[in-house]
Amino acid sequence: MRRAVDVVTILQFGVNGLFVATGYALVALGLTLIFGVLHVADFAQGALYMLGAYVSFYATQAGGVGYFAAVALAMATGAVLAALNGGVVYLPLQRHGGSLTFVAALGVLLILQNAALWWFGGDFRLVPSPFGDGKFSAGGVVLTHHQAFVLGATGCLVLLLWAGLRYTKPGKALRAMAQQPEAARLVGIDIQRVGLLAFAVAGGLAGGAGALMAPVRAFDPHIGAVVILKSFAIVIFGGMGSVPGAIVGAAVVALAETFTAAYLAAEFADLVAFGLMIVALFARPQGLLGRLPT
Amino acid sequence: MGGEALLELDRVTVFYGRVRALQEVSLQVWPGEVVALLGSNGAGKSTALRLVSGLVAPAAGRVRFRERDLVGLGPASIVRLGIAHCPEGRKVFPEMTVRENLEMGAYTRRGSLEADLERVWALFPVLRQRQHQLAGSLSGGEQQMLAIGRALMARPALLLLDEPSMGLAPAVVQEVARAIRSLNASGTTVLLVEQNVHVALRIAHRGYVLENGRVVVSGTAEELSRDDRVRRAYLGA
Amino acid sequence: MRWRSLAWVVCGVAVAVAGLRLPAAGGPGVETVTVGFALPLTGAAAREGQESLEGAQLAVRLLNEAGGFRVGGRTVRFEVVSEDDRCTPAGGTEAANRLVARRVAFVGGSFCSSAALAQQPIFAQARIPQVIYAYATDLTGVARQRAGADLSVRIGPQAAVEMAPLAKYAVTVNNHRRFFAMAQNTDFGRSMVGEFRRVLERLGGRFVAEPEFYTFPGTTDFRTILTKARGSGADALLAIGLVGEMIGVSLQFRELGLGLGFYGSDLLEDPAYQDAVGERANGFFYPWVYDDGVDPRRFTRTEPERMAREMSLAFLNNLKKRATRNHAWGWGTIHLLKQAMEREGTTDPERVMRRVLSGERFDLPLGRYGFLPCGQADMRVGVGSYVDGRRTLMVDRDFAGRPPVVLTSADLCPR
Repeated sequence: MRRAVDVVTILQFGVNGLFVATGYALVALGLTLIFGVLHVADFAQGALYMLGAYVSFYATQAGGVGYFAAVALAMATGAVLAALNGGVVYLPLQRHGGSLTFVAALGVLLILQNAALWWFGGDFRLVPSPFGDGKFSAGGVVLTHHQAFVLGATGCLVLLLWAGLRYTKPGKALRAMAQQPEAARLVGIDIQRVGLLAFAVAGGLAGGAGALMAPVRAFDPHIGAVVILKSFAIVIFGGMGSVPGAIVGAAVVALAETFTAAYLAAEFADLVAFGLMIVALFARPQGLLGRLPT
Repeated sequence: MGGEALLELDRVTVFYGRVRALQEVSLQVWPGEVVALLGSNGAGKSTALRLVSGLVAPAAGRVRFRERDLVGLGPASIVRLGIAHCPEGRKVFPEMTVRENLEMGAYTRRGSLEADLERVWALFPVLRQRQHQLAGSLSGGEQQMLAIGRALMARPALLLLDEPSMGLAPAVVQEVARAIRSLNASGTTVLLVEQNVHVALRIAHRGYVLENGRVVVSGTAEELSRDDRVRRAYLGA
Repeated sequence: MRWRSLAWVVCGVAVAVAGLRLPAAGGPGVETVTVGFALPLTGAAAREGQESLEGAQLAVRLLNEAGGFRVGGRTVRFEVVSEDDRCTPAGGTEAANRLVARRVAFVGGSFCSSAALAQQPIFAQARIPQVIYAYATDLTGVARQRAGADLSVRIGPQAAVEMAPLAKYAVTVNNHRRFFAMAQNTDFGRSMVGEFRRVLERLGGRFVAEPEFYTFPGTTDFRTILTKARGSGADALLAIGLVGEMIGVSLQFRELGLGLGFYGSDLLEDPAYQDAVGERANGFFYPWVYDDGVDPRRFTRTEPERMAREMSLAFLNNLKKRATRNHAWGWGTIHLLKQAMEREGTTDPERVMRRVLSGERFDLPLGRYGFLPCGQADMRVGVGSYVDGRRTLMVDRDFAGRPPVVLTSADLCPR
């Protein structure tokens, strides 16, 4: 490239990549949580991201709700729907084996996507950001106020999740289920309840991510399928069931994509995520930070 | 022995798919006892423990604990009734600290755990030193102690112990055996599954020998160690 | 238990299929012509497909409510059926086979180049005329010849029709000559970029870097490509995508404060784009294909676009919404067939299509024009821009044909 060592451009690429990573991280976290606890690859999380975006749209545009309240509402919607879906579809099916839940998850994603198409129409939507067009600019490196807010909010949610898993009793139960399901049952953990909790937390994160991104990423009912595929690749790359793996995976994949597009060509950017996933499957089947089953 | 049995299995049959793992098994455990289930691999010993703790359901027969029917209750309810199961292979939570593992053992209880922790520390002093270490980094013997400690945190009246000596060095086996006798002495009833019949018969008051899912011999530890079949099959005599 | 639920599903599907197959009511002396639409009703281009179908359905509803129309002494009514092609070649093939099995007389679609290319040989084989909306050049070129699809026409622009005037406008009016191009990695994106480049280079401009083709569907963050454009030394950006991508590119272009000229696809004239981007699109240029007479213009109108106006009013009065270019595909298909039937005095598909391809002009929502022997609509588009957040038509449809001429009818059909 003409100005390969232009520092401002490189920094801008880095900022872009970091922002892309936040978009992946929250959904990937939910996926990995559900997978770790229940061994369900919950593709429907993509639909909850999409619904989160629509909740924030209708709450702010038609409901007169403020944007920040709308994000909370989107999280609550995601949590409730995910728990409902988990309780009605996945948990009963799981007794029949894992492949059934996989098919069901895809089915739920498609049903919600097409339902959204009928209810909301196929128009692209964008939620106005409460920060307007405000942006930070340091020597040409640009970060909008909304992007900064999304980065901060994602950081807080990740921290909250980490603390919740580490210090609260339900959080410990989730970890116990993921690490040693039989022992978890034997100490008296109710797998149905903890399973529903995992769905709810993941759904909340996905719904929140949808609402956070709604002002910076035009969406239609298909955005969920787009989001979930990439997140799934990230979870496999980072380690199925590993929380740090999802975060590190999101960052690595997003930055790799960004710099591939920056210094090679955009058409290879998508290959990177899935390429990393395949390399991980061969070189380290448990993923970057995952454990082999004990 | 008088009074009523703490635990009673009454003609219980269990299937794993099409395989019959237990067939019309009946046994009793009286308060204060250590009872051993003996037998070779696949005889149905672990199944009997999994049945009691609610991990598997019987196809026929009854399981009673303190006169209460356990069939149909999940593991979570059974723990609350006072039965703790220390599973085969230890199954500690590898990415939690020793202390967190012990706290998980008291998952169904509220209130302070200090007294219970002290009891475990007293039984296995090494765990106190390692309390902030991840359980996955412990040695096999330490993990076994932790698994027993975790089960004790539920304050069980009946402790189900599955293969506590498996894969441990002889010195560690002795330490674990000493701990089992000690906690039995302080009032915990124990139902023990053990492949190492020497060890089992030294700890237990009574025993049942299972073969292909059926009880073939039962009696006091004394009687069993003199039984010809037991001696030939399990004691290498 | 599972078998029982499966049985319910099968019953449900059977009932649904039976419902779809109920014959439309037709009185004595009334002929019903069935037009099948093969469109992306789900998937990445579902919105475009749904709107195309909606255009056809409204046109048919209004014609039928008016009692149908007269063809050679008989009254003709239309009936619309549709199949989802999911915007993929496989989906296109399935949809085409189902429409053939349903014995439709004419077909509209697909909107997607890849699906339309898969459908063309199937409809050619069945001798069902196909009115295509997709932009890939081959649909009126090599692919059409190879399939023997002499009954197919493309009712709208192909890539050259849209990009020639836009490139000419960039160079001759705005003096933008150094371009950075980005587009979705599809037949659509690549053919548009290729045609733009052809005219740009003929007029002395150039691409400062190889075009960036991003994954479609799936790309929502364009900041990296835009950052690259910022440092590329270009004085203008060409961005080709569907409406969601154009919204994303436009907003991120503004965020990053790029000081370049902006040239987009014709989706910039979509109401959804206008709602989302608004004032931030000021100074952006695009090919305009649809003129309902409402947008302000910088030229005197040479020819009133009667059908565009009619469609626009029909949508406002009946569905309370603004008509889009996508509605024009379905609406235009119905009215093209109607006019050709009226003139030819028959509903026979082969004769109707010969009339369509005769070179006579028809009143369509994208203007008044005829069709070239290769099936391509002999039509032109203008160049529009955003001024104060409003679509504004800058030059008319004759712009590409005025000196320096960058597009002739001969350019639209392969020799």
